[in-house]
Amino acid sequence: MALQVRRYNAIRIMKTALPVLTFCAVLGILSGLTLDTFKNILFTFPGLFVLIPVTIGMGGNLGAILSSRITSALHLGVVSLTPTDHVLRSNVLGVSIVGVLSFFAVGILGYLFCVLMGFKSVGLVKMVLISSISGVLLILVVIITTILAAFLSYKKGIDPDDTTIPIVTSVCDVFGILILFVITMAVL
Amino acid sequence: MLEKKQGAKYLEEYVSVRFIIRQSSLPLLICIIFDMFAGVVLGSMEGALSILPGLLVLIPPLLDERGNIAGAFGSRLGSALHQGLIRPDLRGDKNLVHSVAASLGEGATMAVVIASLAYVTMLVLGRESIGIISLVAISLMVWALSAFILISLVMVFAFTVFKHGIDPDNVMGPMVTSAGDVLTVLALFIAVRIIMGVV
Repeated sequence: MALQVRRYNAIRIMKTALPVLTFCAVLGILSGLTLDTFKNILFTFPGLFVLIPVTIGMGGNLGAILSSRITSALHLGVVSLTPTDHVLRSNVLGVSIVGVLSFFAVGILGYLFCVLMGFKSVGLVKMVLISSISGVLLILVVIITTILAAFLSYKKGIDPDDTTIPIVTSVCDVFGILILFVITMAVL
Repeated sequence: MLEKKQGAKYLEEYVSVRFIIRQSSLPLLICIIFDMFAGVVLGSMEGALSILPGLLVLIPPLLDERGNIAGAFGSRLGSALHQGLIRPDLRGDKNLVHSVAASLGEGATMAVVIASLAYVTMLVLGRESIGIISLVAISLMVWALSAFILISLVMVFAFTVFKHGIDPDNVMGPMVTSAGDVLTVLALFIAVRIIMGVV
């Protein structure tokens, strides 16, 4: 029996949403604190600002794509949690390739935007290195979190559709910024 | 027999690495471009961010929240359109009004919650921050300047794609978060200008 909503009620929607949104806000503040911790480096090279929204966004997007695909495959019963599973492997591989290419492009585009806008940047090579290395690490976090969240939910009898995407996007938000700045410190 | 064949073909496509890459590249590219534009706007307010300490902490939660709220609104619209609960026109239908009101209410509430949380955390950690009134004021201004436009955009976009026979569930996600990021950062840019004019 599918979930049937007969009528929307603003108060009821808000009551359901606000606790989840508050939890997400706490995680968001954690990324904010990470930004604040690294503010000296940010204000020295304002070009790094260009990478912030895209890093937060891309982790979440890749996570959402992989989660939706794996949860649908779980519902269809065509995937299992073994390293040799064909469906699991090709989905992980597909998302990794798209992800690595995207983060490489982000580095180049980021540098071009800095030149165009006259922001003080770290230079093309370092920009691409920062974006690509932190991208690869973030993709690893995305893959591990998605697989764990999806399969654990499924095992516990919870619909993975309801849990995986929020878990993965929240984890990526926090780790995205953290990884970006740790790698920036290492590259500079 | 035919069904079985189609099922097999579907599964074959489903596990094809090339198919996955082809399907997800375009939405990701659009996200990259929108988000980099948001980043450029952030970069250009670097001066203001350095003289208003504490503001940096607001940026990630404000971006997340706008995406979460508008994303939920978009997926509610998608489900409601499929079920015929909401019709794709702008004649203030009761379900639509409640759904819009919920999103706007969530946005205003979270604007205050985020700014207060940020202030308290900075206070506890002993980091420098502007006052709680200024932080809440900026956060609420960002909401006022971006929420109404974003909700209207999501609504018009969902109705348009639905009328053209495209499933809103497939296209709304990336579009909503990218548009939300750009609008939030632009709103922050204006809000900071206003606050600096007042202080």
